[in-house]
Amino acid sequence: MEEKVRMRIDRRRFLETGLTFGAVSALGLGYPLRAAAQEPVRLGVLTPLTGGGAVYGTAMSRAYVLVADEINKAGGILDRKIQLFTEDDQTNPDAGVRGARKLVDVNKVHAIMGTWSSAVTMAVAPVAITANIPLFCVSSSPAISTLQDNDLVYRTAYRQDVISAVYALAAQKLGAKTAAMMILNNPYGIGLRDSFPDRFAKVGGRIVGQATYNANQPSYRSEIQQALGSKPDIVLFGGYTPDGVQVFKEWFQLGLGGTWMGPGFAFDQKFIQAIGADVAEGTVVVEGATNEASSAYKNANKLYRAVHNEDADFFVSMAYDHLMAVALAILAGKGDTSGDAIKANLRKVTNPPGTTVGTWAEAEPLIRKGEKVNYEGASSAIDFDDAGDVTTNFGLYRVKKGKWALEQLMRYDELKPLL
Amino acid sequence: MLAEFVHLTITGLLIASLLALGAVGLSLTFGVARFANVAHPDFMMLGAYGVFALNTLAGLPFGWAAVLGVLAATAIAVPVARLAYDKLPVSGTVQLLIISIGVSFALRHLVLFAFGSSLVQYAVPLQRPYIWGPVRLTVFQMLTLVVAAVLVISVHLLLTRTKLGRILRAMADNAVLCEITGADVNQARLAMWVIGVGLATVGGALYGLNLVIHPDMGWNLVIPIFSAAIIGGIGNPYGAMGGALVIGLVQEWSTLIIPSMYKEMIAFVAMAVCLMVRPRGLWGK
Repeated sequence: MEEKVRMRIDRRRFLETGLTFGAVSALGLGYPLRAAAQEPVRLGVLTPLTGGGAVYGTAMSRAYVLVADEINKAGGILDRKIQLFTEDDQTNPDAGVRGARKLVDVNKVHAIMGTWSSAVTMAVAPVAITANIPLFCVSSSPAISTLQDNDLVYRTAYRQDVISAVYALAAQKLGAKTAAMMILNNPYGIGLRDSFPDRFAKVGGRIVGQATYNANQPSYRSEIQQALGSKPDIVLFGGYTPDGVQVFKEWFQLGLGGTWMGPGFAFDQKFIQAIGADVAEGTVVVEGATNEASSAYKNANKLYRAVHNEDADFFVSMAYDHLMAVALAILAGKGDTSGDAIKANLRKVTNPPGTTVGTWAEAEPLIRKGEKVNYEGASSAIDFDDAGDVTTNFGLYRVKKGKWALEQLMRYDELKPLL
Repeated sequence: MLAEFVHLTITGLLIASLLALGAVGLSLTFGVARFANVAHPDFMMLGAYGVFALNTLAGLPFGWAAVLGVLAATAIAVPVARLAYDKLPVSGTVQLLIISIGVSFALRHLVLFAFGSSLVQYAVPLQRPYIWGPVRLTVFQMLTLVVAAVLVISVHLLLTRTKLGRILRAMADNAVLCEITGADVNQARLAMWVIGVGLATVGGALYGLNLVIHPDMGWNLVIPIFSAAIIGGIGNPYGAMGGALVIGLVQEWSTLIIPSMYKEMIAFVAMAVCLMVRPRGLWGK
């Protein structure tokens, strides 16, 4: 009985639909067919808008919107507009997986871009791999390179394991002969403590003091004295912002002097604001450097500046590169948005040989003509290797009047002998 | 070596003086009210935020902000303690302990809601230290040592030389007997909260002067403050001073021989040894 009812309804539905279609085509509108041809290119943005990565994720999510707008204003990818779907990964793997599932299952996106924390990227990767769509991240864990990812996980950031070589190079460029280490007792800090001395020895440096501290100690006074007692030329800081603020406060009150060197995520704007510009003055910050000479960076900076009145930093530049790389790969695949097509065309548009391009306006006519292009990104050259990684340059910045000022550029070639 | 020892001793004394201001109040309230108030270190956090609000946010000069901020934090915390611990129709050590955990969470989240989770500081410039050989101390650090010593001695005098002190000690011994003799137990309990909370808020204000202020600072102090109180013999305010010194100094001295990352563990080894030798604490009855 129920079966029959459903069948009748189905038949009626079928008739209705058929009649509508007939009527529409008779009227010559052909609307449903045209709509299918102009179906938007759906891309997922999954950045941290809350939690530890919020500062970076928020800037990145703004950048994706700016690039998508620019491409859409120029007519989109083969007349198809880019439609972005944004989720907050909360700098939390669970929330990241929920967001990714929603992007894949509900929004049916063709790629996911923007995961920041390595833990989130590692958790989200299986979702993307199962759905056979590419994932673009800015995480730094070496484990991401060795994922069984079917060539679907790409990163535009540097790998954490090059960072101790970067510090050694930075110390050399600053003329430091002796160094001390002030290290947080966690896997990140200990990794740095174990790898930096060898790299520093390669440039002729010597470790003269070190202290490892636990998070949430009421005071770091004795550790600071221990690390800096031997008056090193430079002190490597292996911790995060909250402990950094307290270490700096107690260091200043001890009146020991010395120059600190540390990562951008510890000595960020929040840090400088909390500790005060005068205390932070002269601190050396090592961070990925943008590819400032490229037309991509100039365009990314122009777009970002116009709306947010700030320069595009390394993370904004990486977001620009993610979206450009995906859009160019889809264009090169003649509009094929499948994961297989995107990954087959990605390296064709980003890696040499080919005409160097950095903006949609430069690249689009060439690709449409069938010419080979080499996308030179805003954050780096964006030449993906077999693991889906790129090599980035680094900047040696110094805190001057509360802001980072680029002092020297450290090219990846210079790092190679130290790795 | 000697220079290092002197340096570590000063660091240990600085930490001990901050811990002592928390531990003395904790021990006092444990002795009289007979429960472990987990929210006690959060009263320190309130003190720090009180000064921060008046100094950094409202722009009062630091001296005024420090006095008024401590008074304001005490004025908020004492009614909270009275309501949660004295007025609720519950009794029993475990019930009050659980309530105090609730109070701790509530205070922390109120502060999170009001001031956010970022690290904050007073609007006073950081000071460079005076240097005498291996001794390096800023004016604020000297102030911290002096204020802590003065307050701890004052509490000692109050407990030994005044009528209120006698009543408090009697309550700690036997509350029922004390009430039978005609002492105003309710008023004495109020006085106990004012003293205990007041010490904590002053300690918090000094903590903020030397270290960094954030909503979890009280929570991070729970273990060291309780250890100090336990080593000294919980319920015994003088013991808490000694306990704070043991924790502060042993922890710092230990870094002469073992890596500093283990110093927190050493404090607990010291606590275990103390309790093995003197099960009721070093100064326990």
